[in-house]
Amino acid sequence: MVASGDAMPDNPISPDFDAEETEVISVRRLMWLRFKRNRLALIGSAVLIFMYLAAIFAGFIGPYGLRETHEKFPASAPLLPRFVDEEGNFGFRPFVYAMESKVDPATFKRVLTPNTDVKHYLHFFARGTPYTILGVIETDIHLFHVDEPAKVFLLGTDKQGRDLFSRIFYGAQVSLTVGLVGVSLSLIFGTLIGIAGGYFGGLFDDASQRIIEVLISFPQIPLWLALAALIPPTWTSVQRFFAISIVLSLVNWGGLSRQVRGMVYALREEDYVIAARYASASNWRIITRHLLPNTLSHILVVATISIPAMILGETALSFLGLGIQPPMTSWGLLLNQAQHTRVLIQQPWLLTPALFVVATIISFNFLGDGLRDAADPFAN
Amino acid sequence: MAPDQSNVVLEVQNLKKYFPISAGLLRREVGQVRAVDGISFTIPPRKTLGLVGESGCGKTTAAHTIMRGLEPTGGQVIFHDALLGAVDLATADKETLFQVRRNMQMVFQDPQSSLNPRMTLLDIIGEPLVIYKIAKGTELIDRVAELLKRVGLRPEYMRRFPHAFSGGQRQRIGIARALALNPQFIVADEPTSALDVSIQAQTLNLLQDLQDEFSLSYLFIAHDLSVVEHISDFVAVMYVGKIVELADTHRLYHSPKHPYTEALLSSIPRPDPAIQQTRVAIRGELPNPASPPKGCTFHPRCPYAEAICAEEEPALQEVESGHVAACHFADNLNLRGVNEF
Amino acid sequence: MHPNLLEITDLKTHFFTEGGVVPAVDGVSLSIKRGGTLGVLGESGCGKSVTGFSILRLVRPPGRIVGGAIHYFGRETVNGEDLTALDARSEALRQVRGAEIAMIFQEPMTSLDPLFTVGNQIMEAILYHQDVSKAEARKIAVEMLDKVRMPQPADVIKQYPHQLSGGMRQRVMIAMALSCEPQLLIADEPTTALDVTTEAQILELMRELQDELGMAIMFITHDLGVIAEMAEEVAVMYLGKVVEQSDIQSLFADPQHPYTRALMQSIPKVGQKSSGRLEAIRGMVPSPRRIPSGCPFHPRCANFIADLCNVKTPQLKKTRAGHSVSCFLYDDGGSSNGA
Repeated sequence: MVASGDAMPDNPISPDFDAEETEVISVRRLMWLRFKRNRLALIGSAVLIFMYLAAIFAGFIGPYGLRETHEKFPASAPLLPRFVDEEGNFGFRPFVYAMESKVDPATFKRVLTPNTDVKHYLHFFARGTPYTILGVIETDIHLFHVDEPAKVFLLGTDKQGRDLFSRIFYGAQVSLTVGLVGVSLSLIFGTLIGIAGGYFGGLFDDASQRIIEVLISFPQIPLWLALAALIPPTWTSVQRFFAISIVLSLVNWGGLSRQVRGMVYALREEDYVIAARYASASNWRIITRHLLPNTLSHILVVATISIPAMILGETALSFLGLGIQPPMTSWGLLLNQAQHTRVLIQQPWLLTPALFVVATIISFNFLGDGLRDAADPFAN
Repeated sequence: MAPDQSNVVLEVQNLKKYFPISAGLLRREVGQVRAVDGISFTIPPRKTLGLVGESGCGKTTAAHTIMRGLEPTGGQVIFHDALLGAVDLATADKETLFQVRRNMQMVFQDPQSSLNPRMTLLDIIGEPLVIYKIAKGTELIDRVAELLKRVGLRPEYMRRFPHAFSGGQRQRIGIARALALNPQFIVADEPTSALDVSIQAQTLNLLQDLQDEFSLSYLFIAHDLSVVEHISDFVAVMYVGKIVELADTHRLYHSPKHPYTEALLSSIPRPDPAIQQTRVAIRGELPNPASPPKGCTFHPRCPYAEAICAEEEPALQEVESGHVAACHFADNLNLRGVNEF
Repeated sequence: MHPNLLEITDLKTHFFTEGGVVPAVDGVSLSIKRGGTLGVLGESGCGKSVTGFSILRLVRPPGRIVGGAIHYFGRETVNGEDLTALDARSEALRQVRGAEIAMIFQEPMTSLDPLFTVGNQIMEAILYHQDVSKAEARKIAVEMLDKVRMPQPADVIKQYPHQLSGGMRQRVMIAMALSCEPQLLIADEPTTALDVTTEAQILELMRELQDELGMAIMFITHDLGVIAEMAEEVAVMYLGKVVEQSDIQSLFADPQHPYTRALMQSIPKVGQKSSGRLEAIRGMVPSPRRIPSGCPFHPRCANFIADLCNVKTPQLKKTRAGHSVSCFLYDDGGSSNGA
């Protein structure tokens, strides 16, 4: 019964001993498993995906165009679809009553009264104002539409009679992308300088570190204001949009660069980097094959976390009138109308863009948290 | 370009590596840490030199200075390359270093940090082959498969990532990477100290088999004196940046000539409860290498120290042929060997 | 008084991770004599540290003690108090931790707070368990440092942990652990991170202090040399189970479990250099998530018996006075027939 020791393979390092032991999971998959565990991060990403889709399909979601004014309805309160008519009958099809503008014989003020004779049903996927998606696809299909003379203003209008609901999604196109463009710029700039400084060290590292220290010790908002004030007023909105992105990233790249530098600085002493150097790997190879892949996930986390600051920056600049200029619009610019207490009391719906700003910022922060956990899949 | 016929692979002469200590706002240099302070030794072909010492004695710094990962402060590292002949690594230019590094590689201590977590085994082991344009495509795959087999891992693991492997397996991967270029000489820096006891023996056996098979020479750095005795032909003992004793393994372990060697040997915990150890009382701890004691660096802890030891630094002198020690009383002391405690 | 200070019976501590249940400690029974030294020997992942943590009830979620008992026969209790039954936040457990049973670890830096002086931290431990004034606590702290042979203890109490070397920090940890004169000291690889000369000093110190204070020591280590030097009794652990238990002389003179034997053969023995290869144990320690069926050591065992070792789990059986082993080679109660 007893097997003797000789029955075992003579070579104790025979390759068959660990056959089924190892698992085949790539680092990327480990990261996804870890990310999935963070419920808030999943919610955040869902909200953000919705926001960006809504921005792309702004024309489809909003019933009216960006510059479409409704002269008879300046500063109108929300006109919501209803399910119950004047007589109290309930129906599943939403409808609106057309509003008629009349002068009150007693006060001589213009008041809007609903004409309850005709129900104007909401049409879904119906034709309305023409628009383009991503500047290429021309169409006029809207998510919902109501025939003239009835109107539907889910979030009311501004004092020029423009539908706020539609404009919020057009504004999202600017507000949500200014952060991305700005972060991409500071990502490129910050990563290059951070890697160069962290890996090569020396005078360049010292100089770039001092510049960053000066940059991040400036108070942000005044710096933004000063830089934004330099943008020539004659520039077109698109030029202005990119100028604002550059302003935001000029202030922002320093923090990112520092983080990258710190990571590279730590990684370059790792044994695998030294092993690569002893195998005569070029600096280019070490940076692209060893340092970048191992810092990339962390860089993306840092970038995600700095997007909210950029969005807030754009909002602040536009709110103060130094950012995006009409006819383009952004959430900051939409909020610009809500600067006075008097306006706020009479037209509180003008504040709704702030809710979108808050939801976006919180979602980005949740996403960033989730990514940070995922970026380090081996931590316990 | 005549092949080098000399009986030496590596010749280290008076190698020094000092690190500046800077202080203050302007980072002025206020002193030096003499991490490696004039060490000399030679390694013959197919032999293993063990380098032992406690943490902070400079043995790892010495390894990286020999590999020219650190710029030496002084001295020579003469490598007898099979193709290039004798090359002084301490002053070699980039092109020469590139050539020489084909023939000298390193195995690291920490199997966690020595493998890039984002690369597959194929990329890790194949990297030197790609850099030296030795193999690519299917040829590269074949070569990596062969290397994996040689270190006792299945070639099918080639496309896996290091995190899927245990510490012992990772150390094999690191050894396969060092072997990829078919070198003459390997520096192994504590290759088994992060491994479990039962895995340590496998790794040591593997290193010995590879030495026979590929005619390798090793510089084997470790703090475990039992492991060093097992694998080394010669042993050098380092203390605060200097070699204090060097001899063939048997003589160093059985008739040491330096009191520090004796103290080390007597401190080894012996896996035998029958041995009643009578330890050499060694006081205190390693001195700060930034301000080592005057005279013999070991004198404050040495049970045999006399007045001269605090004054004069003893030179490394030959006590017997092939046995050197840096002690004023190397000839007079009757020190105990490892089996005499 | 009960002859044993601590009796662990059939302890099971499992970790409920996402990847499945990890039975880190799976039916361990041990006893520690008053003033004696029990060595627990094993490689990483064998459950030796978790056993130590379980005694002090320091196992954190997802880990949990799921079975067994740990009876502590302290100063007052005669019948023994089951530590596993105590409430995690109870005063009784608080008294046991630190005052009755203390623990020291491999890396003292992680258990010392870098922001407080050494004196502060020892004093805190004293004030927590003893009803003394601050000045008295300071006096005890200096005395304790002196007791662990710390040079200039009055100066050292004003220093921060990072100003001390590894060996000095371990001395501080020992001083802190012994400040309340515990009955049992659990030492978890206390010298693994230290250099060989420092290790020798610390081991000697621990032996001297044991003679002086009469405490029992549970010494957890992977190092056969250290265990031979420190322990009177040894339990060899493999994958959450005790595979062999013996007094130290008998274990080294006649190791019985194939794992113990292989472990002893696989290490190079200093002073006995041979030119040959080492007798390595094949394979590696399996992942604790996938413990082999039957005897957990069977895939690596040189004496593997097909259709027995991989099917049935052997039980710890006495083979002679003070020596038990869990292996089918000894099932007939006789001597080894597989060596």
